[in-house]
Amino acid sequence: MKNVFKFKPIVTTLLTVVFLSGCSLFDLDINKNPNSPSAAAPDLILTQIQVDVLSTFAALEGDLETFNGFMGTQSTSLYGLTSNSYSGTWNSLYTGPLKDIEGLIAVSQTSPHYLGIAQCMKAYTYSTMVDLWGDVPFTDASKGDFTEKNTTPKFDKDVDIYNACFALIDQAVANFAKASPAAVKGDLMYAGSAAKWAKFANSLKLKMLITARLAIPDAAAKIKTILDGGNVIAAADDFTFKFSKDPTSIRHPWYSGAYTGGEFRHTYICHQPIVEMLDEEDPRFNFYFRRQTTLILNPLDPADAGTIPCGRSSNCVYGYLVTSPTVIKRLYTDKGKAYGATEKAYMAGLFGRDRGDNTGIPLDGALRLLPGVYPCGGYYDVAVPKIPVANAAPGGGIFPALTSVNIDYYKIEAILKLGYTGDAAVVFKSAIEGHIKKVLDYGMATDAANAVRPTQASIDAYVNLWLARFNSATTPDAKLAIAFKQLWFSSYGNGFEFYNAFRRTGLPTTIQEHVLKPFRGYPLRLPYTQTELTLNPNAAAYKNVAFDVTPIFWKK
Amino acid sequence: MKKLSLILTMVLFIAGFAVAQRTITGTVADAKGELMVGASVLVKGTTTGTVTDIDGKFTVSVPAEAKTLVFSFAGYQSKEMALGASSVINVNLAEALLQELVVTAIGIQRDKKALGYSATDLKSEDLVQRSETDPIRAIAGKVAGVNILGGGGAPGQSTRINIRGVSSFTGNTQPLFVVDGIPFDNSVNSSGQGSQFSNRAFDIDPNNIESLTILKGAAAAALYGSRATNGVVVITTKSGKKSKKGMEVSYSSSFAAEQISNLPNYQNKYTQGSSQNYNGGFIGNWGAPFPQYVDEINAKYYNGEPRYSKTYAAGYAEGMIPHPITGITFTIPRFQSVFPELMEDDPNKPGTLRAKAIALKPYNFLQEFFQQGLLAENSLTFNGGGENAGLSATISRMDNKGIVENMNSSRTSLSVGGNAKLANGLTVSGSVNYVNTGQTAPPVAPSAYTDYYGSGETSIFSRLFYLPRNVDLMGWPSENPVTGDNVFYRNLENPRWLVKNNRYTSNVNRGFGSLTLNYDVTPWMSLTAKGGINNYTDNQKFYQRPTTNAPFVAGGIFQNSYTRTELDFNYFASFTPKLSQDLDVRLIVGMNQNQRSSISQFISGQNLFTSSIDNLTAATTKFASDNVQKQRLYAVYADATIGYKNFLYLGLTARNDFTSTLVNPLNLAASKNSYFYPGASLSFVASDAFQLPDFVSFAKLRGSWTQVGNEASPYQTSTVYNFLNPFVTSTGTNTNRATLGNILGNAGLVNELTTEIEFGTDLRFFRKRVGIDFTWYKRNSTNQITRSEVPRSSGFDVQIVNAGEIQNKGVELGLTLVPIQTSGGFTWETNINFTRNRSLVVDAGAGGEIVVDQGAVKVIHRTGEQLGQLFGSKNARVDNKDKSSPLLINKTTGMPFILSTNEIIGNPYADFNLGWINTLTYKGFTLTTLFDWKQGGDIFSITAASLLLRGQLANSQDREALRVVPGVYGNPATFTAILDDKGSPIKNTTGANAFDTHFSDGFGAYGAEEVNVYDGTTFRLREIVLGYSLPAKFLKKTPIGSLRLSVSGRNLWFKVPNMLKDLNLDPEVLPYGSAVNVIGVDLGATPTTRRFGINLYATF
Repeated sequence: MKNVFKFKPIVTTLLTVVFLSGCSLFDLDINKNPNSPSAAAPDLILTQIQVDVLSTFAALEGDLETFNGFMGTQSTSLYGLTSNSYSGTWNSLYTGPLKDIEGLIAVSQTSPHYLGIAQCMKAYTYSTMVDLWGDVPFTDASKGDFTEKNTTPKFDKDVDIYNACFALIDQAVANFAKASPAAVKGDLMYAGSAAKWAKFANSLKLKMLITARLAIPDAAAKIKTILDGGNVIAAADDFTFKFSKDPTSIRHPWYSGAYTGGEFRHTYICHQPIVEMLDEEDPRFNFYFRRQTTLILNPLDPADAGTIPCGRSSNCVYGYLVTSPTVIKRLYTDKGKAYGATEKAYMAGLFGRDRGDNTGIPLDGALRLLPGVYPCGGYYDVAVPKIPVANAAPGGGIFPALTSVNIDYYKIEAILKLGYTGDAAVVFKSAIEGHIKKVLDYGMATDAANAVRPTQASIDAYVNLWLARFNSATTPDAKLAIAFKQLWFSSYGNGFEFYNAFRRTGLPTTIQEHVLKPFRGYPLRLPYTQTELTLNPNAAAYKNVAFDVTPIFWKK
Repeated sequence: MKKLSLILTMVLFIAGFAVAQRTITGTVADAKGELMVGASVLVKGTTTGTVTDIDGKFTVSVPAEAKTLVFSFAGYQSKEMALGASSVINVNLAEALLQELVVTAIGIQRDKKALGYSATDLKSEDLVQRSETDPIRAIAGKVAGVNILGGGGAPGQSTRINIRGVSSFTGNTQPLFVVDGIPFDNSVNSSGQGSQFSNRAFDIDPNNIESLTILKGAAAAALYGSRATNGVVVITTKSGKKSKKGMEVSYSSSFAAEQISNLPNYQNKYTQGSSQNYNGGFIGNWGAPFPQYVDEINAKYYNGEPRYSKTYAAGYAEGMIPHPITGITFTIPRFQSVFPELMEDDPNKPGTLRAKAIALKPYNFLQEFFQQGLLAENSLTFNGGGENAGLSATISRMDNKGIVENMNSSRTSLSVGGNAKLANGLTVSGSVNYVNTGQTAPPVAPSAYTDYYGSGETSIFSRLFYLPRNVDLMGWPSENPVTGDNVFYRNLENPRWLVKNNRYTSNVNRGFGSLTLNYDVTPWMSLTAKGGINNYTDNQKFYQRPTTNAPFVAGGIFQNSYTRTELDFNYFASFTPKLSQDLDVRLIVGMNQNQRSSISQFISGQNLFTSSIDNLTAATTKFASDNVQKQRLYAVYADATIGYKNFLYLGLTARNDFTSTLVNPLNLAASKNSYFYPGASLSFVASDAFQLPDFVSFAKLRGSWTQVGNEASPYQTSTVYNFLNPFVTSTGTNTNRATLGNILGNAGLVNELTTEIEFGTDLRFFRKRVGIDFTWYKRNSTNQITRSEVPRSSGFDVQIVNAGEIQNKGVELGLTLVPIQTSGGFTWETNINFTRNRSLVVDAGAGGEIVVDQGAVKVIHRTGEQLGQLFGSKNARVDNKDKSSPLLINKTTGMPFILSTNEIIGNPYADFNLGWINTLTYKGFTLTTLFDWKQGGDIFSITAASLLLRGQLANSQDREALRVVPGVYGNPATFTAILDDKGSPIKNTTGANAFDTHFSDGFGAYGAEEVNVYDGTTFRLREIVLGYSLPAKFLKKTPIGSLRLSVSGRNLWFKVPNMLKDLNLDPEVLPYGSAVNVIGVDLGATPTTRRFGINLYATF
C-alpha cells in the first residue's frame, strides 16, 4: 500500500505534464510565413511594376522641371544636390519595380506577352535611369533573391545598358508577335494589347536612338528604319499613366501638393513661362495654371515685403508680376491694353518666382499659382480665383510618359540633324497642335464643370505664330532651338524629354538665367546615392563623380 | 524563545558538568550591543558548552586543556575566542553575511555564497513608494551592470533596460522577464501612429513585487535558454511567494505630484520672422526686435539710425500687429467671420473691418501649456496561512495623470496565490494574476519637423517647443467654435487642438498564472512540474478628427489589436544525494517547452464623414490586415552544483535547444535548428576555507565560463511577397498588387552564440562596514542574426544574415560602506554602483559595417569601432579625418558645407555609470538618496538643432552683427580647400547674418548633423525618500501592526554640463521606444518629469 501511496503523486505529476503540454509543442515545422506567400501571380506583379515605375518617375519629374527653369523647387533650384537628394528614387526603383520585373520575367517564360511587357518595362526603366545617372547596376541588379544571390551588383557602363535595352526591346517585339496562352491582366497602360505594346517598344527604341544619336554611329539608319516602319505611338496610343482619384490611393504628386490642403501647396512655377505664355496667348494657359488669390501685397508692409516674390533679391527679371513695370508693359501697355483693377486682380494670382530665387519660403501657400487641370487633375482657371477646398478638385491626373507628340519631336530632330526625309515644319505643326489637343481634351473631360475650350481661331493664331518663327529660322540648329522651346512648354508634367534634349543639344538658349548664383553647375546627371556609395564596394569608382562635371555617354 | 533557551541551557549544563575544571563567564551581544538570549557557547572541538540566559549572560565550565570558545547564534556569524588568563569574555556577534537565498534559474532558490556568478536582488522596499510606477525605472541606479533608460515623461512611456551592454546589432537587446517562473512578454506593441507606447513589463505593479533578482551574466541565465542572452529579470510576486504563517494585511498608498522637469531658456528680444523682419506667418524667431528693444538696438548697433521701426504692420499703430488668427496681411482671410471679436473697425478705411490690433510681445506659453500631473497608487495585500497551506492576495490600482492634458495611464491588478502540502506529500503552488493597463494620450510621439526629418509623426511636440515667442498659444483660440476645426495662426496643427481632439488609447487586459507540482520521491530526489500561461490583448486606437481645413482634412481611425500568448512548461528532477560529509551535490535534469504566438490585427478607417463619433463606423474607406506569428522551442537541460566543505562550489550547466525559428520551410532536412551550449562556474569562499585576518568578515572569489545560444524571430528563413492595398484606377477599379518584400530571407540561418567569461569577488570587511562586490566580464556574441543593409541595387533593403561578432567587456563594482554607526542608533550607509561597459564590434560582417537607418537617425556598427555609433552628415574640413582641422567654407554663403558621405558623428554609449545611494537611519527615520552620474554618451539633439534653427534660445539673442565662421575657403564640388597663389589656404572672411548661420545651413537643423551632437554627461539626483516608521509602542493599542510614512521625490535635479547652453532639457529620452536598438538621440520626446510624493504603509 505504501508504494501506491507514493506512486500516486508521481502519476498526478505526469498526468499534469501530458495534460498541459501535448505533443504538438514538439512540432517545429511551423516557420512558413502564414502572412505572406513566396510566389505571386503575374498580373499582381505587373500592376505594381507599372504603378511603381511611373509614379516614381512622375515624382522625380518636378526636379527636372526645376533644372529646366519651368518650376522652382527650393532645394534644387540652385543645384544644391547631394548624395541624399535622389536616394528615394534610386532605392525605390531598385527595391521595387526593377526587382519585380525580374520576378515577372522569371514567372512569365511561357507567357510571351507578359514577358514582352516585362522586357519593355525593364528597357524603359533602365534607359531612363541611364539618362539620369549614367552607369548603374544592371546585369547583376535586383537579383538578391534569384539564383545569383548577388547582393553587391557591379555597375555596368551606360552605353552597354543602352545596348542591352535595345536587345530587350527587340526580344519584346518578337514576343508580342507570338500567340499568348492567356490574356494579360493587370496592365494599366495598354490593357494587355500586344499591338500597342509593340508600338511602344518601337517608340522607346526611337526615343533612345534620338537621345544617344551622337554616340551611336548608325543611329540615323536605325531611326530611319523605325520611322519608315511607322509602327510607333500615334495619338491614341500614348504611354500615359493615369493616377487615382481616390484619396487613399496613389494620386498625382502635384495634386497631393496643391489640392489636398497642404500648407505650402505646390512648388513655385517660374515667371518666365507664365509671362511668355500669357504674352503669346497660349491656349493651354488656363488648363496649366490655377490662380488662388486676387490679393495684392503691400511692399511697404514689412511682412508683405518678405512674402512678395523677389522681395529679397534684387536682380529679378520679372519680379512681382502684378506690380512689375516690365511685365505690365509687355502684357498690357505695349499691346494697348488697359491695366486696371480687374487686370491687377488677375495678375495678383500669377504668383510664382523668378528662376533660381531660392530665398526663404514665406507663408505664401495660399497665394501661389497652382498647377491647373492639366496634367494633375486640378482645376481649370476660372474668373474668380479662390483657394481650392481640400480634396475637392476632380483628381486623376496623368503622367504622359511617352506620347505621339514626343514622336513628332524625334522626327523633327531626325529631319533637322540626321537627314531624315520630311518637312520639319509640317511635323512641328502636328507636334504643337497635337499637344494642345491633348491638353484641351484632357482638361475639358476632367474639369467639365469649369473648363472652356479656346476657339479654334485662337489655337490657329498660336500655332501660326510658332510656325512663322520656325520657318523664319535659317539654320537647322536655330529651327531646333525653336522646336525645343515649344517642347519646353509642352513638357509640363513630364520634364524628362526636355531635360534630355537640352543636355544633348544645349538648345534652346532662351531660358532665364538664375537670379542667384547657383551653388553648383548645371546637373549633367544626378548624384549617386549615399547608401549605394556606402554599401556597394562596386560603387567605389563612382564616389567622386561630380554631377555637374561628368556627362552621360550620349553627350559628346 | 525563553523556553527553548532554558532547555538548551539545562542540556548543555548537564553535558558539561562532568568534566568542568574552569569557569568562564561573560555576555554575548550583537553588533549594536543588544544582548542576545540563547546564543550558544561551545568549547571548540567538543560538545561542551552552554547558552546565554535572558540577560545575554553565560557561565560555562571548560576543561583545562580547552583553548578556544566558539560563540554562535542563528543568523549571525560564529566567532571564536581564544581562552586566555581572564575568566571573563564578552563578545559581539556580527550578523551573518550572504546567507540570503537568491532566486536563480527556473525559480530555484540558492544560497548566494554558492553562486559562481553575479546576481543582484532587490527587495520590495527598494522599489515601492518612490513616486515611480514603472517597475523598471524603479531599478535605475541601484544595480551595477544594469542600464535603464526611460523613453520620456508620458505616463506609461516605455523604458529600456540593458544588462552588461548591448549584444545584438539590430535584434532584441532587452532581458528576459520571468514572473513567478513563467516568461513575461515585454514587447512594445506599436504600429507607428503617434504616441508613446509602453513596454509590457509596465503591466507589473511594483507594489506586487516581493523580490526582483537580476541575473546579469550568461552563467546566471543559461538555464533559461535562448532568451537569457541579454540577462534575466526574475520577479517573484507577493502572491507567488510561499505564504507565511499567521495572518497579515498590509496597505500601501502613495500620492505624488508631477511636473515637467525643465524648460529651455528662451530669448524674448526678437519676434517671429526671418532676416530680422517681423512676419506673423513664420515659425522661426528671426524677426525684428520687440518694440521695447527697438530704440536700444538702433542706438547700440546703428548709431541711432532707424534700422528697426516700431511699426510692424502697415496701418497699425506702433508696437501693434493685426491679430494673426484673423489677420490677412500674410495670406488670405481665414477666420474673420468666425471670430468677430478679433476684428475691429479699420481707422484707415472707415466702415470696413480689419483684424484687431494686438500688442506684439512675448509670451511664456509653455509654463501654462504643461499642467501639474498626479500620481496615485493604492495597494492592499492579504496574507494568511497555516502549517501546510497558505494564501496571499493583492489588489492594487494606479492612476497617473500626466503633464499634458488628456495624457494619463492607469493600472489595476488583482492576484491570488497559494501553496499547500497535500496529505500524500505532493506540494502544489500556484498563482493567478489579472492586470488591466490603460494608456491615453494626445499624439505625443517624439517628433520634429517633417521638412528636415522625414519620419516625423504628427505630434504636439513637432511644434510646441519651437513656436514663435510672440504666439499667445494659450490665449488665442485653437478651435473653430462652429465646426470644431483646428485654428492656428497658420495651417498647422495647433498643439492645443491636438490635445483636445486627437487621441491615442491603449487598453491591455492581461492574465497570467502558473502551477507547480512538486513531490519528494525520496529525501534525495524530487520531481517538479511547472507550467504556466501568459496572455494579453492590447487594444490600441488612434483617432484623428476630420476637419474642413488643413492639415488633417480626412481624419482617420487606426485600430490595432495585439494578442500574445506564451505557454511555458518545465519538468525536472532534482537529486541531492548525500555522498559524503564534505560533498554537497545537487543535480537537476529537465526539459522545457515553450510556445509563443501572436495575432495582430490592423484596421484603418479613413475619410471620416463625421466627427460626432470616434468609431470606425464613421469611416468611408476601411482597410484591414492581420498578421499571425507562432514559434516553438523545446529543450533538454542539466544543472549540477557540487559543494565541497561549504567553501568550494562547482556549477555545471548544459542545454540543448530545438527551435522552430531556424527551420527553413522549403528544406526541412537541411535546417540547423538544434544547438547545444554548456557552462561551468566556480565559487570559492576563502573566508570559510582559511583563517583570514579578523577584519575580513567574508571573502569569496568566483569565476565562470558559459555559452548561451540564441534563436531567430520567426519567418526569417525565406523571402516573401507582400500584397499591397489595391491601386484604385482613375475609373475607380480596384487593381490588386503584389511586390517581393525588401527583406531578403536567409535559408541557411543558424543560431547566435554568446560566450561569456566572468570573474568576481565578494568581500566584506570590519563586520559589515565595508563591502566590495566586484565583477569583470567579457562576453563575445557571434553569428549575430541581424538585418544587414545591402546595396539597394540588389533589390533589397536588408538581408537576414548570421554575421559578425560583438564583444562586451566591462566591470561592475558595488561598494558598500557604513561610515557611521553609533550606539545611539544613527547609521549612515553608502552604496556605490559603478558600471563600465565597452561594446566593441569585432566583426560587422562582410561589408565591414552595418548601418541601421531609422529615417531621422542612423547608427553604424563598424568593425573595430564601438557598437552603435551615431552616423550622419559632417561638414567638410581641410583634413576630414581630423576633428580640429579647419572647416571649409563656401565663399558665396560664408557657410560650411556637408561632405557627400556620412561619417561617425558620436558615440551614444556612456563611458561609465555611477549610482550613489546614501541611507541615513536614526531611530524610526530613514533618509535615502540616489544620485547618479553618467559620464559621456553623446546625444544627437534634434530639439537643440530645431531651437537653433528657429532662433528661440536665449543664447541666440545677440544677432545684429555679421558672423564669420572660422575656416578656410573650400570648393563645394571637390571638398578641397581653395588655395591662393602661394598654395596656402585662404581664411574665410565672408560674413553671414545670424539667420543664415542657423537657418539655411550651418548650425541649425538644416546643417550638418555633427553640429548638434553633444556630450551627454549627466549628473542627477534621481531619488530621495524620507521615511518614518512609528515605534511599535505607539501602535500597541491600535489594530495597526506597523506604520510607515514617507515623502519621496524623483528626478529632482539634473545637470548636463556640455549640452547646448539654455537648452536645459533632460537628455534621458529615447527616440523610438525601448524596442528599437537606437539610443543617444533626442528626437523631441515628451519631456521628463519631476515628482514629489507622500506615502503611507501600514500592516494590520
